[in-house]
Order: sequence, then C-alpha cells, then structure tokens
Amino acid sequence: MKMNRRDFMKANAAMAAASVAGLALPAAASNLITSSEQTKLEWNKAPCRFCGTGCSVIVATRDGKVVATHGDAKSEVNKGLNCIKGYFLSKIMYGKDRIQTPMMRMTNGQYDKNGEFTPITWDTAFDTMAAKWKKTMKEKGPTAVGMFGSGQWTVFEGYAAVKLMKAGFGSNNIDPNARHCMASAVGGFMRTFGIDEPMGCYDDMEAADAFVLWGSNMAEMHPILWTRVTDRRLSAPHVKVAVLSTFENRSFDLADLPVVFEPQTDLAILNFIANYIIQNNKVNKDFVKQHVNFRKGQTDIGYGLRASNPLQQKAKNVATAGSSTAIDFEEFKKFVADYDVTSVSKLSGVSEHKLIELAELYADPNRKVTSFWTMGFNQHTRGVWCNNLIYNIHLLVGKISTPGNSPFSLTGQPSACGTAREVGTFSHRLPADMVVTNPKHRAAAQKIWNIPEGIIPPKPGYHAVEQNRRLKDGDLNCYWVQVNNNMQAAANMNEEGLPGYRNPENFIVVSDAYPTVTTQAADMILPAAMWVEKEGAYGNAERRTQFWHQMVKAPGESRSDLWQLMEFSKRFTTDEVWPKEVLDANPQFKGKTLYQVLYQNGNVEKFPLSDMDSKYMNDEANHFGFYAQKGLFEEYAQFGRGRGHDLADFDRYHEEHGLRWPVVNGVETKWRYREGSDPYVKAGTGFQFYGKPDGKAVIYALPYEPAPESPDEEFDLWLSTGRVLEHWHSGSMTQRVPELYKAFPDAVCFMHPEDAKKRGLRRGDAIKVISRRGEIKTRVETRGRNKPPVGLVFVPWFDASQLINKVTLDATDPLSKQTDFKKCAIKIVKA
Amino acid sequence: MSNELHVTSLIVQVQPDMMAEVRQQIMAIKNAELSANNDVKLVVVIEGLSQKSLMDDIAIINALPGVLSATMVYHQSEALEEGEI
Repeated sequence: MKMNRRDFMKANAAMAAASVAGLALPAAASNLITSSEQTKLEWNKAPCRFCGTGCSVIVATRDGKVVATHGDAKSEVNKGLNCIKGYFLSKIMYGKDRIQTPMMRMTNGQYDKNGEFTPITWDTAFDTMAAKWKKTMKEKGPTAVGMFGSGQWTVFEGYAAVKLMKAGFGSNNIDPNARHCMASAVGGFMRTFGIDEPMGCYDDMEAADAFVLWGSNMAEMHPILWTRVTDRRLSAPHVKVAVLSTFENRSFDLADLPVVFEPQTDLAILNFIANYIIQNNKVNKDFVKQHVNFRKGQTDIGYGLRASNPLQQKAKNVATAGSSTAIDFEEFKKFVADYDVTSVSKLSGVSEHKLIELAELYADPNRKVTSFWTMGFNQHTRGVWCNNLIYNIHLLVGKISTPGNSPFSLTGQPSACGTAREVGTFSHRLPADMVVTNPKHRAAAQKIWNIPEGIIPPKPGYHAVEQNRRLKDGDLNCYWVQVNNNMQAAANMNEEGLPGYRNPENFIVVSDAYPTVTTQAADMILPAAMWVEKEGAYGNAERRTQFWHQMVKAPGESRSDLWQLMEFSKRFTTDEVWPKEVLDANPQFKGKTLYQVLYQNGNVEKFPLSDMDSKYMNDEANHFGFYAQKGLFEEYAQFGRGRGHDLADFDRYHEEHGLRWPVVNGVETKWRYREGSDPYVKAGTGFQFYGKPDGKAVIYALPYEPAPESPDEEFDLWLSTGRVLEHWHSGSMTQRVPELYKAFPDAVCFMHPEDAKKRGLRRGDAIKVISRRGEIKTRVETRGRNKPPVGLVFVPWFDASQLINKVTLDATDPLSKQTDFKKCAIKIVKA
Repeated sequence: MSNELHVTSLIVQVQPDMMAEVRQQIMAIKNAELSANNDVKLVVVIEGLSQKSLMDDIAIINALPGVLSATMVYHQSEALEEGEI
C-alpha cells in the first residue's frame, strides 16, 4: 500500500493518539517510518508553564526557536496528553507585542510619573531604581520597599528574590500572587497538620472509588487530571463522582451526584457530613484515638477588610482570629449536632437526599474517597476553615494517606507549591515551612545564608492585599512586580490597586514579557525572559519537583528574573541598607555589596561553569561566571533536608521527569504520614502526622458564618468570577495565541435565562455589571458551558477590556489574607 | 489560498451509552475521521487547511452531548506543493 504525504501525516497522528490512549490500530496503519522533517528538530523535556498540574511536555526547537510541543509520554502526570493551553505552548513566546527593551515613563529625557514610556538601557533602569530604593530606605526604612512575585517564578528566582528582600534589604514585604490562590490551602495544612502540601499524589486517581469536587471545575481548569478521573469513572462502574459548585459547569457532565449550593453554605454542608458520620456510628474510632486531637477555633473573626470598614468593626474577634482551645470528641460531637440534614438542606438549597448521598460517600467504610478543591474553597472569607473542615471529615473516617483516600488541594500555578510555598516567598515565611516570627527559624536561615543575626525582621511584611492598601496610603513607595498581572488580578482595583500604583509618591517597576494592565499602570517596565528561554525548576501540586534546561535565547534585551534580581543587588552596599549596630558587631560585612553577601557567600558561587551540561545554553551562569541555578538550589535544599522536605541532588532532576519530595536516600515519597510509605514515620506507629509535635493531626470545630456581602434589594445577584479552559489567569500569554483568543475572544456574563428575562434582557445584549465599588460593560450569555442558577452570575476575569475586578470586593480570609473572588453582590442593567 | 495542511489527533472520552451517537456525529464532520476506539474512548484524526479550522472542529466535538473531554495528542503541519492532495 502506497501512502501519500497526507495519509502519512494522518496515520502518524492516529498512531500517536492510539498509543497514548492504549488502543490498538490495524497493522497497516502502524507501519511507519520517521518523517525526515522531524529529524531536524531538537527535542527536550520541560514542565508546562501554565497551571499547577505539572504536565511534562516535549519541546522541539529548530534554528533557535521553539516550533512544536507534545505531551511527554514518559511523564507519570500527563502520560503523553496535553490540554489546549499546553498544546500551544510553542506559540506563547512569539507574540508580536513582546516587550524587548527596558522602558520608563519620561518627559524631555527625565523620569516623569505622567510621562510616556520611553526605551532606556538596563544601566539607566537599575541606576534609577537603585536611587529610588536608597532614598526611600534612608527616609522611611526597609518597610517602605516591597516586591510582588509569583507562583510562576522558577524555584531559583523565588529563592533569589527572598534572599534579596529578607536577607539583603531586611524587609519582609515580599508576597506572591499565590496569596490570591493558595494561601487558604497553606493555612489549612499548617493548622491541621503543621506541614504544608498534600499527603497524597495523583496516583490516588486510579485507586479511588469516589471523587468529590468542592468548588473546583476540574474539567476546564485541570483538564489533564480530569481525563484521569474520567478514565477511572468510565473503566470502573462502581466509581461515583460528586460535583459541588455554586453554578453548573463542565465538570457536571461526569457527575453522578451534581450539587449546586447557595454561596458560603459549603461550611454548613461540611459540618453536616461530619455530623452524619458521627450520628451513624461511622467514625474510625481507633484512628481518631491514636492520631487525632480536637480543638475549637475562634469565631466572628471579621472579613479582612480595612479597619475602617463597618463590617470589620462589627466583628468581635479580629485580633485573636487564629486562636483555638482544646476540646474532646464529645464536645466536637455536640458542636456539629446543630448541622442536621433538615436545617442544612434549607440553608444550602440542596435536597436532603443529595446531602445524605454525599455524606454516605465519606461514611461508607468500604469506599475509598478522594476530595479535590481549588478556588471555591481557597478564595473564601472562611477559606482556611473550609480546608480544616474537609480534613475533619477525612480524619474522622481515617480515609487519608492511603491510595485512593486523599483530601487533595489542587494548585493553580505551575510553581505555587515549588516556589511560593516551599521556598517561602510569602511575607511571613522562610524556606521549608519556617516563619519569620520564630527566632529559631530566623537564626537557622541566617546561618545557612551566612549573614549576621538581626538582618531578617521578626515582624511579617505586608501581604498582597495589604500591599495595595499601603501603596495607596503612601506607606509603601518602591515596588517591584515580577511574572504576574496583579492590577488585573487583585480585587477592587478602582478603590485600591490603581490609586496605589498611580500615587505620585510611589515608584512602580514591573517585569514582564508582554504589555499587561499592570505594566500600563507602572512607571518602569523591564523585559523578561520566559519559560525555556532560561534554565528553570517548578514544583507541582503533588510535591513533584521538575527541571528544564534553557533551549532558546530570549528576544532583544529581555533578561530572566534571576538575572534581574542578582544584577540589581550589585547596586547596593551593606553600609547603605543594613542596620549600623549589626555592621558594628560584624565589621567583616562592611563595604560589601549585597551581591557579594547574598550570591558570593561561599554557597551560591560554589559550582563552576564546567558543572553545566555543555549541550545547553545558560545565559545567567555565563554572565555571572558560576552555575548560579545549582548554587542557589543546593543552598536552598539545606533548609529542608532532614526536616521532612528533602530534595534530591540538583543534577538528578535534569535526568528525571520529576520527583515527589521528601526524597530520602534517592527515593521519592508518594504518600506521606503512613508507615511503610513515608520514611519519616516511625515503625509501629501506623500513621504519624509529624508536622505536629505529638504526631497527631487536629480536627477543628468551626461554624457556618455568613459572607460579608450578600444580595439585597438593590444589588440583587451573587457574582462569582473565575477562569475558562482556553485562557490561563489574566490571559497575558494565552491571548497572544490567535487560536486560543478566537476560541473565547471576549468575556461574557453567564446568567440564568429567567434572570435575563426578568430584566428584559436577551442573549448577546450589552449590559452593565454594577457593584458598590465599580462597574463593567459586557454581554449576556444564557447558554454555553457555565449554567448559573437563578440569583447568581459568572464572569471570567481573563479579559483586559472588561476588568471585572473593578466590581469585586477585597474581603479576605482573616487567617490566610486570601481574597474571596467568588462572592459579592451586584446588579445588572441594560447598557 | 492556504498552502498548508494541518493534521491533529484527539483522544475523546465518551459516556458509554452515548458512544454510538457520538461516533455518528463525528462521522458527519467533514474533516474528521474516526480511528481506533473502545467502549469509552475513541481516537479522531482531523485535517484542515488552517489551525483555525482544526480548532473549530475540536470545539464542535467538545460540545457534542456525551463527550466528556477531547484532548489533543499530536499536531503536524506541512507546506503543500503545487497540485498535492
């Protein structure tokens, strides 16, 4: 049989898909030769730079350009598959409007906050920045400078940034956009287990008998993981899938138990399930007795609003929001007894039989159950509570840390875990779950970093939302944003974000690869290298650390964030920024540059260029004269080794398709806290939650409390915001890919046909979405993939021409400081 | 006129009771061709003269009742010579 080129391409395509799907093709179709075109390509592995799933992709370069990508068949995460965003990764670097030179707002050759963006050199950029930083620190101290980073920073970049801020400038004002995304998950883990990140892993998906989605539209947001859940559901008929959300979404297509509930009542539903388990005598008594403590948490803790807000003033226990007292099982039993099926059904709008069916998935001792959640839980003014309450349920029945029994917090960004959380780029954190408030932790960090005592301040810095407020109030004056679009992403931009950036007292620098709403609001823009234009490392949601090599050059004057951070540090001496008394006590540090004390400290510059794989480029190493990524990583790894956060040797990660920490004696850990699976668990204990001193996890008694703002007569609808499949976050990369843009060009307002009819609106009508804070124009969509119930609308937030965060409320979880983007009250009128 | 040929392959996950219907619907799409399948998933090959046309067909398949997911695996595009195809 003779094949023409077209037949050949199609046979190749069918073959690739069939082998990934595990399906057999007729023999004739599989008799293929390698295309001559393909042999000209250079193929290498890299993790996708979008969501937190951590898919591995194989990247093809030709003549210094990325030309193709496909799923990595050797990856345990995605097994050869790629979602629509990952599929077009090869295009994200080649948008026509890529920023290629530093720019500053100028008039007549001078910096002017109201001037036009004008190209400048890197030297002018850093000299101007350094002058502003020095003047500000001299006048107001280190708390007046700050940095906003990202869960898209590589591990090396996040670590270099933490060092520059906390060990260099002596300021804790560094926070990642992961604050908007995962802070409540972190708070939940620390409170219940004393150590961050999921105990299970993606292998749970092939072992579970039931999946429960709590405020997570996995079908669109984690499509590759969803294909694994779907495979499990379709190949094992006994498996059940429950999907809970405040509106119907694409994930409901697979649901055996679809549940739409009234916003905020997830708190009550969670407590009902705990109550049901206790009332029906389904508590795993041995497990609870050996491995669990009970505590009652503080209530009426406010909504993380400005202190001047009446809602905040009304709350009684703002100051002690995180406190709790020890109780016993009987007291907990009594506490949840109020959450009976009748009252919770009435409150949540979910039928009694559905609530019972849901509770039974957890209660049935013969069913292994995996819970997934993302922003529905985390972006919640009681987000930490939601996380605590789901662990309550899994702990009561002992369904945890064994294959298929898994309370699993999914992640939004590629390195929210690896960088933001593990490196600790939060305003209160240090690497490996340590915190600045703990003197022992500060001492440990200062020792590893070879810096004197007294440099890291004991007081946490400003968190994300607080940073915008302090910019507006003029307390924070020099501000550097890297790898994210926070002006578009943060809530209430009209009243907080924009006035903060445009405050004449402030100087705002934004590093990015593309123009965004945030670069437009800045005073200086620095062109950034992205993804495989630099060597990198990410850590995904299942504790998997993955590395990649630099494969292509960044365009024009673009430089990686790592280069920018390290190069900027050369502009400062210790005498200019460190306290005099510290220098007097440690005179050997006098007259040194921050570059010398941070990155030539005996650790970071330790590995020579000859340690690099000569097959690959490394622009940073060649510039600085040492293998900076390896030096930073090996210094960073000292924080976690032997403390439950063990990372493997640097070089090994370039060989592997990722490893799940703790990696002890070269072996990764799939399930933590269980004897035989986790090397940190002592023989004979069965389970050990070793993040807590007594090895016991904590079940918390926490009530349902209402949302800060709910619909009333004037503002009569709930607004929820979120993402769509084709776009990732604010769309600054995905909107550059024409095919993705066309698939979902403009944001719309999804609403119920009855709500539209009531307001005299039809599909496609122009409308205004109005809250007490601001308004946007958009169009009505009554069909399509998101189907809100009567009383709620959904608006995606990727569209820079329809900034929905003018409308949202900047209420946060008082414990995690994470914003609730899922609930506020709005009205809709015809535009 | 475009002188490129684009080919992509998809793995489509389908509700088993809807498989026959989904297969019929896909067969009715001009540029789509069915390949291997079992009870719950099938391989579809799509060709077209632009990436946009592939995307449109993928969107159609994704929206079919009974389709739970349609995930891309492979994509190739080649410049065609005069008179080819």
